[in-house]
Amino acid sequence: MSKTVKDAIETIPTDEINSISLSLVRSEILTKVIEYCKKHNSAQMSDVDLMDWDVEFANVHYTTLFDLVLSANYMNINCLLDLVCGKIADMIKGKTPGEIAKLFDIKDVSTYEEDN
Amino acid sequence: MSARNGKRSRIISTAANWSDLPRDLLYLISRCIDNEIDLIRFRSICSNWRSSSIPTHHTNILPFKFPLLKYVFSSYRESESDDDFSDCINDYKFSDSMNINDTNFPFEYLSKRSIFLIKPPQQQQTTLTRPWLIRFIQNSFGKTKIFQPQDTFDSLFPSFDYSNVLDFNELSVLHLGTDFIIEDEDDKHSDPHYHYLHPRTVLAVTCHGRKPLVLGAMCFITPRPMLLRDYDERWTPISSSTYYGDICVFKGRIYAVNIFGRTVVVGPSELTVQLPAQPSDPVSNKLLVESEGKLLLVELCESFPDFFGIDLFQLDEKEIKWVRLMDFDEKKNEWVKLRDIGDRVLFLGSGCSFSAYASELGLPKGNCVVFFDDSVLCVGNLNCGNCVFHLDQDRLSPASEYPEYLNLFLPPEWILKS
Repeated sequence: MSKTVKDAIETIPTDEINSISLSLVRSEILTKVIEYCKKHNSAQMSDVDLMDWDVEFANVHYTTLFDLVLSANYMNINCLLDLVCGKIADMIKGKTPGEIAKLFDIKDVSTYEEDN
Repeated sequence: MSARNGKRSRIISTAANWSDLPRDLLYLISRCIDNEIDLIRFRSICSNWRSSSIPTHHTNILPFKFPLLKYVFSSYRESESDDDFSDCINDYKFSDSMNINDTNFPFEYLSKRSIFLIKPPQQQQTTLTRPWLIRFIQNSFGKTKIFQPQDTFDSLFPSFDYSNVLDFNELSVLHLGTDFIIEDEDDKHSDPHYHYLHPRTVLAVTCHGRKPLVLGAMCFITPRPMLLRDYDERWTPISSSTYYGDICVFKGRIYAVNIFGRTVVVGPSELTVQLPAQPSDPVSNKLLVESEGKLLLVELCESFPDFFGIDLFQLDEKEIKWVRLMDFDEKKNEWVKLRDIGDRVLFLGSGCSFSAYASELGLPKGNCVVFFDDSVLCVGNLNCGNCVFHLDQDRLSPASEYPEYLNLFLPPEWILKS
């Protein structure tokens, strides 16, 4: 599921693989990513149940979302990336720019108007 | 696979720095935003977010040309008596739509109509500040204004004058729905031998990175084709003999229901996923609305002035069928209708049906259905202004008895004062 891992496996000769370096991913986040991959690879759940499971999975604190989106990007797992991006977009829905900046702790908020 | 835990050189500092997210991630996130207002806000957060995100929202398809099919009387009658109900399929023949994608095919420009729920920013919200259900309309030439139904005779509520500038940045804005309409219904092309078919409801759904799918449903009950515009912006008429009426966007796809209750998902190519019909009276109006993550089918039976009834169904996505909202009464050992949608209020109209919580709207109670335009009710009910249906009372009441529902569409005090 992870293109990064797949590429790593394909480029390193098989008998030399002991471990694959994922130096940019913290272990707690990696655990969650593995949980996601295992769930999606097992054929046990129906599509609709899997969607419900995804909603629960993405229902985490926004700091975890931050790490998840970067990890999914780094490990190149497209479906997880879509899920987390969608969740972040949902969190923004209906909030004023001030509220968004406060939620994500962003300091330099621009105040110029949209010019189109 | 295993990760080497020993050496973990993080490029991310312990505090998540959202404004420095990689550009391609910000681009992906911005593509998931489903309306223009939220996108503008996203882009105003900081310069990195602004430069990395998509510049305009997918539903920004204006200027938008909608092709007009002609329908021709197959037998033009000189004199028509009062009992002449000529609105049946046999009297009409639809013009050849083979060249529908040609540039010289007759068309009409559509305008984009959106409805938002506006509230003051959280810290200023009190019980006295009721929200505003505001509808905007933007025409194909860029002009935006507040939408009000033109024909005040048919309109169910008073018009208002509001021409101040609204600073959205300070307000809590929730997008409830977007559809496309023909604003000026004047018959530029008129001929006694044929009519142009105007769409009743036009909806667009966006798909990541692709052009939006657009579907136009022509009419409510009598059979008319639907027109689908695919990812390549090519139009295809969809079978006209199937009497499809209301359409609705649900979870990124467009659903259409016909008079027999048969429901389909339309597009990307023709019809996919067909739900079996709910046995029901073909005479009843059928409307689709999304509520709290579920798709509801609302069936209306109207026999003015004696009777007005509503039946509710919910889509079971696993079984792919409609389930009547029923409850099993243990004591009576029978199924009884679940006449309770709790705190929810369903607003039904042409193209922009939506659902909201009564508490969110500052209303005293939910569990009701409000018809907020003239597309659904019969003339008799419209003339009396009957448009609020309380499920627990099983009764259609005039707007005058419950002014708070339609007054939501008028600008509230706190807006007028600012």
